[in-house]
Amino acid sequence: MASENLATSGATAELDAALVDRCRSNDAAAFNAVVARHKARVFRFVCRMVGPGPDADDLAQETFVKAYTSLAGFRGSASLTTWLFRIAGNLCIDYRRRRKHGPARAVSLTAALFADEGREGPSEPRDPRDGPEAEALRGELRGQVYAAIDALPDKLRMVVLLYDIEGLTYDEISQVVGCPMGTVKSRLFSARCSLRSALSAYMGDLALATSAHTDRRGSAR
Amino acid sequence: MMRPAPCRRVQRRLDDFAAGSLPAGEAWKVQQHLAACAKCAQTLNDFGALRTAASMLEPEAPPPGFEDAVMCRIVAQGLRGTPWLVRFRWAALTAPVALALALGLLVPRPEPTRTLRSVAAAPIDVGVTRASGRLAVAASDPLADLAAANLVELDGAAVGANRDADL
Repeated sequence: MASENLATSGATAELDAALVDRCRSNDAAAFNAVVARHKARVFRFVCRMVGPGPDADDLAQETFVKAYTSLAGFRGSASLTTWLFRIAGNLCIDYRRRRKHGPARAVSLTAALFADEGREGPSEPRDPRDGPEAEALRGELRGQVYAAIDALPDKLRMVVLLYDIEGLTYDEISQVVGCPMGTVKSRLFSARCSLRSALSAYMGDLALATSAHTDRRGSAR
Repeated sequence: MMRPAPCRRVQRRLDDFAAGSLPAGEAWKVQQHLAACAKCAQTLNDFGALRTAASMLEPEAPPPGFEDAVMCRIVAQGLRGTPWLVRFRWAALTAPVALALALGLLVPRPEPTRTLRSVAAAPIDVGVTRASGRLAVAASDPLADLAAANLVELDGAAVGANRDADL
């Protein structure tokens, strides 16, 4: 996660700054490169914020369109990643507000359960030590975690996603959400308490699953 | 004797404690508290499990052709974003011509340098050329004061004539 943290990488920041300069002089290839560099993180974040599906595609694209039209206002005081997350976050919050008054969203639980490595449904377990039951349990847990995160208020969900999944620092998150670092910590704590409460029935299974997950990651390295 | 840290305060620092970002003194206090408080120790475990669980939600990959879709939207929005150009295209076409005409009328054209005799012989026409005439006279003629006085008189007449013409 830490190695994935693009926002803190000096070389990445320099490259981003150079690309932004080129974008400002109407270099379409440079903006294409910006999209290529950041699309995975922005897309992942948007999917976690609003759920996977065509709306997420749309919002992720809109994030970059908005970034393109607002490049003149990007002063470079924050990293490009932070700025993109800020745009994406605002778009997602607006979208969810609109959706509250519109028809309910069909959550793609299948996608949430079997989202790893682009699978669309259950497949053979990768580890021979894992049986179908363990795989099914992990799938159910993933669905529950997804639902619990989805049920969090927007402000709390955004902080959890940025900290746990995107690996941003408190300082970077405070730039994204536009509030002091103390508020970020407070929101993170509230989010953890809410998640623990929502997943209380699964905490034992979660502890087992996460330790197995950590073991697998360790052995893979 | 050091007071034990209250559970709430410790729990608010558990993320930093787990990340190893607490100052040494504070980390030691939290460690001491965790050794004595089963509830907070359990909370630390739960928070760790939640962190890992969140990272277990595997990422969706952006669909193929994502960059192209973004660029298409930018182009489309660029066209959509300038309907005023279409609506007021007549204005867009005539504005440069009008501007050129306005500039042609307003920008003063260079006047030939006038001598005292020519100034005295010919009446001064408009106010714009007055200053240059005066400077030229002052620089070229030792009788500049007299000439300037003449010019003021002549100018007064010319300006008065112009004002009448305007009326």
